[in-house]
Amino acid sequence: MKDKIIYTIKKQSLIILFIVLALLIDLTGVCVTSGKFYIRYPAMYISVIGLIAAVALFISSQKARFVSLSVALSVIYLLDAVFIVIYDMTGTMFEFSMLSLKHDAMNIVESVPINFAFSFVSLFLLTSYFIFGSYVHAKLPVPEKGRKRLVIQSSVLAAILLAHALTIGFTDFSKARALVDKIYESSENAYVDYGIIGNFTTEMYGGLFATRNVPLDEEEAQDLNDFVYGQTSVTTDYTGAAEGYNVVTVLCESFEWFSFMADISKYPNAFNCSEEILRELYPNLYEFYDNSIVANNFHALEKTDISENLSIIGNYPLEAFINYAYPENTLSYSLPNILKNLYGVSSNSFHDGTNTFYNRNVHHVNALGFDSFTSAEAMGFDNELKRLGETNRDGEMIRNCADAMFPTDRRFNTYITTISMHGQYTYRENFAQYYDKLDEYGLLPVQEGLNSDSQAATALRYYCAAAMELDDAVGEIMSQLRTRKSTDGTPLIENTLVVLFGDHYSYYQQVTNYAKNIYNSKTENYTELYRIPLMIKVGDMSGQTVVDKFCCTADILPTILDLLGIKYYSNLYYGHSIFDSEESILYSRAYDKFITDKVVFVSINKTIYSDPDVDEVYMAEIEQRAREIMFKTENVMKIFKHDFFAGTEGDEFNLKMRELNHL
Amino acid sequence: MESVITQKEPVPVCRRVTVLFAAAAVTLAVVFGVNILHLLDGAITEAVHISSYTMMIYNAAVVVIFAAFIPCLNVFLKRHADFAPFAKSEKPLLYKRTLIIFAVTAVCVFVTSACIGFKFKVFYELGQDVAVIHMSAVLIEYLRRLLQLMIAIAFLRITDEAFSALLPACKIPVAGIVFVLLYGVIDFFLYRALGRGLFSYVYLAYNVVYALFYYIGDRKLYTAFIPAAVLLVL
Repeated sequence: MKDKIIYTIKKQSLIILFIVLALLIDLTGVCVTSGKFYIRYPAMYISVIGLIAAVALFISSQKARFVSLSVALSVIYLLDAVFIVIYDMTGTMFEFSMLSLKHDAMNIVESVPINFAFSFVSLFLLTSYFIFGSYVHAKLPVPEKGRKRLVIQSSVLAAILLAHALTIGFTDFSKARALVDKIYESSENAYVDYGIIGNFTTEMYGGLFATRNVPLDEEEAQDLNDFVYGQTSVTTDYTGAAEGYNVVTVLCESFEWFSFMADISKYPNAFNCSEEILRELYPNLYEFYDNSIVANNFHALEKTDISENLSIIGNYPLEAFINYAYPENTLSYSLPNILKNLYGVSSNSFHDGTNTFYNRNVHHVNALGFDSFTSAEAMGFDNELKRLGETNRDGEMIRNCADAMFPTDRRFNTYITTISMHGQYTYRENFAQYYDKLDEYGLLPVQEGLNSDSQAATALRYYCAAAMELDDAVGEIMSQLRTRKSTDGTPLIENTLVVLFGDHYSYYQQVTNYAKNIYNSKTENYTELYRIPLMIKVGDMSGQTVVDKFCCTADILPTILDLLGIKYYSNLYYGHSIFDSEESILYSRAYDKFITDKVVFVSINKTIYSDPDVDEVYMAEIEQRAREIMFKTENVMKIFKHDFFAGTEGDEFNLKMRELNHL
Repeated sequence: MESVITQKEPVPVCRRVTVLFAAAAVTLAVVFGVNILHLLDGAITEAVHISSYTMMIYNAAVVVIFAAFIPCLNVFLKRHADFAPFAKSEKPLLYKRTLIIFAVTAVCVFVTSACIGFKFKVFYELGQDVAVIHMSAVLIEYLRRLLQLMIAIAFLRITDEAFSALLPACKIPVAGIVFVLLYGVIDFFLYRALGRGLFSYVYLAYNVVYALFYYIGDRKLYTAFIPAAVLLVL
């Protein structure tokens, strides 16, 4: 009997070793991401490995088994490595919704942080398997052929398939949980729940097969209704300052203060010259800066599509990328839909990138409420430069689309997303005159050398040159608004609200890290990394007003509504008007972090950075803000999942908004 | 009946050793001589504007040169010295020796990574938060360096064969010493002269390990090359 057992073990040793090593590799991955060397609910993972092992039983040659299982083990290692890279880059686990960003995948993969512990241990295990298998497979007993063996193999496979099916059946794909708990998690991820491969399998099943559109029951519907209409906006000193105005919102890609300003204390490696020179290079940005409301403490940490949505709808759910997941939902509370509902204002969106990127051509019109979305293909750009693969010029976009952007016969809401300052930052033929200008003043020369500082410095040069294109675009916008007159003969500038903001810091090629000399959370003043421009020009205002309050992208829409004098249901929006005394907290959906100007944390129990003067009173306040935003997010997720405002709910919302605004 | 089988006459030892040493010298010259292409860097950068492209073009050109050189060297030495440095060995390596090489590789990778804060050196060489274009350029550079490593180990093998023919009774690993002192040191100074100081001392030390792999690996090229390649990359 003992001999028989030993013989069986020898015969199946390659499979047994495969199972053990696969488990060790995944556990190593869980350990490096969550600090724990176990999997809470291993059923899914074990059933997947079991399936592979069961299939391997059918292979009658030891050499073929060795080759197939080596391939399977390598695939497991690679999958784990990829998800660990995603985790190290973004701080989030793999979600099925990430697949919808596959076209934008190269923008996401800006770096490849190879995890040493995982790779060393796993490659060691993998190589051990290769060496052991290559020497031993010829000496192992050959599996017998025959009917009896086939019956046993089939039974094993059937049993494992059944176990796998039961695991799927008992898995909760809805992930229902109180989001507020997130603030108190001691571990910031849950790879420890299912393991890395287990999580991947669960997400794939959930994404491909789990029911999405489960209707709300009556009680849930009433709760959601109470949430939506639970609170209204407060009045501030600036309420109605732009009442009846047109709105021009400009999302400036990767826009940074240091792209046109010098400040050695804040940006030690950026411009080091007099303001006079920079005013010559960036006259329009300075003109705008000198005569606008400047939010000096504005922070952002999102990808462009999320920033865009936050500034238009004021919220964003978790576990979905709404441009793809909900491209046709009814979002009655978006700025375009509110303006259309209250004043019959037409809204149009423009972006000098491709039509289908981030699914804007569908999402902007069908969900956000724009009447049109105009992309580069329809803007009449120079074909020669397009053939060279050059990035389009924002100034040219404004000039080519001015009639549509700034109509004179009606009130308008125009949303512009720029592209010229988008990474990666390399030489561009169409910016040659900007490089000449920098060289004229001896600013930011090209630096030879392969070390990362030289590379970043050269990228900074190209980035700041691209900022001159944005300057040209801003100048063109202001020129168009000044020269065009509405039907009563007033220049458009006098009754137009212009909002300029950056979507995120310039992360390509470490440009911002280099300019600000901030590379990790151990750096003093770490949150400065995320501080980027927000400037608001109310009519033809002159003089500068500075707002020092901490604010973030979610505050933009409430601020616009506040300035327009539009009262709104504030639970729907994560932020507050920048003129309101209440401060927001930035929750980054892309990076799963809470941020203020003083603190960065994943949960209250896991602070990444904290200013020296942060005390318990401040943290208690932050905890309250975090709870509030998570409560709102939980409800916003339901709004999206059930398309709450489709049908009569949307009509009711429109009616209530008119009543709230006495229309 | 006259035999129709023509036996190839063995190459005289003296001539064979001369051919092997000459081939080793040429190999070394080719490995380091390709750096003359760096003289064209300025012109290429002016044409393509992007330093990463310049790097890619240089390394791609060298890969082509090396890829052509390898079979030429193999054929030449087979014909004139009855020795094919790149031929695969039929005899498998002993399990124990494989384990020793594996262990040495693992320890070297661990020690090097530990010295730089438990990160693989490839992480620094690929760059942190860099453009994909730069990463692609570095990957092509790795390909060039791997081919260079293979040729370098072939140089070691050729030199070893020459010294074995010249001094058959000598137990001292003369070829290994020559490899470290000649190839290793020239590579070290050239690498630094080209402005790439990153890990230069590590690569200098690694040359000793490559020689070690060669001797533990029963003087086989690919047995030495594979773990050496792992060290070079990680």
